[in-house]
Amino acid sequence: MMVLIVIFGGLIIGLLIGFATGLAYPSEYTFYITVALLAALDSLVGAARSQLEGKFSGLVFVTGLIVNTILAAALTYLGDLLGVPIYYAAIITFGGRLFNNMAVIRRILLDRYVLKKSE
Amino acid sequence: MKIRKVTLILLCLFSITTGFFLAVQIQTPGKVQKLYVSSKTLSDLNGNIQGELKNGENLRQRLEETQQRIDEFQNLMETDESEKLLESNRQLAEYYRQISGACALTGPGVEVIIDDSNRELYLWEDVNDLVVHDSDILLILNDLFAAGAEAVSLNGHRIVSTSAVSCGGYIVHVNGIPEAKPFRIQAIGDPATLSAAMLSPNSYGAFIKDTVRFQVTVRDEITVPAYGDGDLTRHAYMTISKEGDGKEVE
Repeated sequence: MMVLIVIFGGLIIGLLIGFATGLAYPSEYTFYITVALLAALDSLVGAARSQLEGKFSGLVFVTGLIVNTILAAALTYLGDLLGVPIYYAAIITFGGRLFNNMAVIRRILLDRYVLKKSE
Repeated sequence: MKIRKVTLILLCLFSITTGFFLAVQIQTPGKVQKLYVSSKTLSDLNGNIQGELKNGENLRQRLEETQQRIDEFQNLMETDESEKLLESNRQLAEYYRQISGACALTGPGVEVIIDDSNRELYLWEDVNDLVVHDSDILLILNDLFAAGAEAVSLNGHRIVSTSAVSCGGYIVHVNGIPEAKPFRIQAIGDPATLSAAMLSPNSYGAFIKDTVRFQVTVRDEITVPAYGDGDLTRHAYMTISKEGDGKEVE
């Protein structure tokens, strides 16, 4: 439960800081950052899920995060070069995984606090 | 539910960073407005851009030239060198007089003579094929101008930008004046280029050589009269021309 609070609390704090600073970057890079952000969100939700399932590993989290983010940005760049929207692959994969992980988290939480089936 | 503190802090920091970037992304204007275009469209657009840039460059050059002339005039005005101003205008006027056909010109060039053929008709051949037509003359004149002729006359009539060569039955009207065969075209220009344009394979001259008399002579000195000169010296036609003009205008 601690991990969930940390992750979502951190996200909210980060959002607040971001809105407070009012920063914006050149629009050429928005695409890469969007895809990278999606990868990061996917990693975070994945971390929350694995923590709830009791098999969280810091190493897996960090490597997965870095590799996913770089791969997503690289795919987007490759798509830019080829003129083929390869970034769809990243969006579909990460988006799908986000839904998947959220569903698992929801079920675990329901099990634990509403249905009271676990210990 | 055992988790190390370091991992927790890392997760926390990472979530904050992600949230921060999310906020920045939300604030960035023009987000997710990327369109994928094919490379053909890209190269087409690139060509358009290059063309427009070249266009702009040309315009800039013209602007520069015009500015230079304005500066020149202004400079002359300030220094009150009326003589120089007059001289430069005189040169300009001289140039326009030459290219507009207002004065006679002399120089090297070619003389082309076109005449009806005097051979016998083949079986079933149309007699029209062996007669010089206005269109033949027009195409030859065009070829001459395309080959860089600077001044051209046809039977003593200077060919200028408003000249017309039109059919009149057995004769041809040149600048509105009837002319009969043979047609003598005189053109000032590079003799080698002009004669090549007349005689080279697949040129129109080579084509009509089969049906009409077509003769090209290179001359060191050719004099092309001014526009109107040739007509004035041939009074027989002059009267017709003047009468016709007067009556037909109304």
